Amino acid sequence: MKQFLFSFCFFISIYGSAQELYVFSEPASNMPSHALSPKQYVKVLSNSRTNKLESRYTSEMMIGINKNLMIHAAATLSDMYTEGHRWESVRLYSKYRMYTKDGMFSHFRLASFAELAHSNNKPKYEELSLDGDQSGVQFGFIATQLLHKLAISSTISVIESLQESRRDPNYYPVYPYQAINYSLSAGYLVAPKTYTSYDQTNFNIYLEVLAQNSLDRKLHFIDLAPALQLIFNSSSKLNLGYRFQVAGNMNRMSNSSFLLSYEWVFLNAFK
Amino acid sequence: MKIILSLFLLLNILFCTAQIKSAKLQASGLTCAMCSRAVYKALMQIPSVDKIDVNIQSSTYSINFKKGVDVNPDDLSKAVMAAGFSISNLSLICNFSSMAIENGSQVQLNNKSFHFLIPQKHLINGDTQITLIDKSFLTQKEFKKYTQSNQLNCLQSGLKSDKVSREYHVTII
Repeated sequence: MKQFLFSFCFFISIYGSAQELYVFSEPASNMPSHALSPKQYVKVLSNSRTNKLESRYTSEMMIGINKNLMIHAAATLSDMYTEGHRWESVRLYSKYRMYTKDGMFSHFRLASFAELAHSNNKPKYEELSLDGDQSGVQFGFIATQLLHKLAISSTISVIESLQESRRDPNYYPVYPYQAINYSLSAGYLVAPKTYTSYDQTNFNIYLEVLAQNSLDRKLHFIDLAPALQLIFNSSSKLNLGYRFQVAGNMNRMSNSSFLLSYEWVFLNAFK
Repeated sequence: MKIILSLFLLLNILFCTAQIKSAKLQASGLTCAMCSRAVYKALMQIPSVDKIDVNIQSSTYSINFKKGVDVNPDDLSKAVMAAGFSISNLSLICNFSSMAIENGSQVQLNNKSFHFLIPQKHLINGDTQITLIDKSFLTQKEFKKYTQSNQLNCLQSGLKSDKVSREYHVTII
């Protein structure tokens, strides 16, 4: 895997243009001030317990409050914990850009973020996630370095599950409640080779490493997540990603999943 | 001594009827067309901006201003920053009627004060390109170069000696 990652980074540093509109993680950069960005996505996986194909639909609204602060609000519905699809969770995410150093075709940015989620689900798996699975909080930092043709972003965060079951002795300590999430992401612009118009369709590829280590139990996973992205008219994005486990010892809902999302950006949407 | 200095400064302030016609702005910290479009849309929101031609590849925006309106370079910087990026270069094309400029000359242009930092005397006439060298119009690296060669408090602060009024620092490249 190390060789694969090294080859990817080497390839984009030689031939590519950097892209940091990652599919599975957030960059340290914020969306423009006073912009609105609705996002729809669906995650599909084969449940390891039921062997059924299950899906989660998420509706998210991203808001650029000012040049340093942005907020996401999202709601999910899924059939991952129930027989049919039902509303399962809401979450709020905010990201603050703390440091910016811009150069010509380069930048370094540092951001902090906080996330709060409420979910109706009872824990069944050892992976901690606020994407609909559990109620909880998450705090972390994101550093993104764009250097000529290479854009590398790294996230580190602490996630804490706040399920009601935490106070139920029948649950604890079967499931972990605290974990560290970390990620490393890189992106590459495949087309167009030369930008001439905002109407050109952009084609980007990404590779991300997404990992979690439980703090209260010795459990972990490391996922690799390649993704494709099309950007239309410089104003909307279609993302397709596949995430699969390369190492780990957690009991997860699934070791692999697909993610399909569409995102619109409305600039100067409010004063 | 103070009176002599004040008189000297007063004599050195030139008033002219020059018009800021257009600007060439280069934004930094971006590589994608989506980011470039965000900068373009933010610049188009400025009331004095008439038309912008963009070179997405080089992140360069050629801005034409409306005739007879007040052009404020800080508005350009605020717009680019609101889009999430910075300005790495900003040049203004101004139409001057014959004028002698030397290092330290202060020129009133469209009700804005411009402080020239130039190594030698220039006789400027007609369309002339002046480059802004204040903190918000350069990369940190480039700004450092200017502050090392011009150790002026006003260049650091972007303010006149009264420490309240805005003063733009410019050079002719």
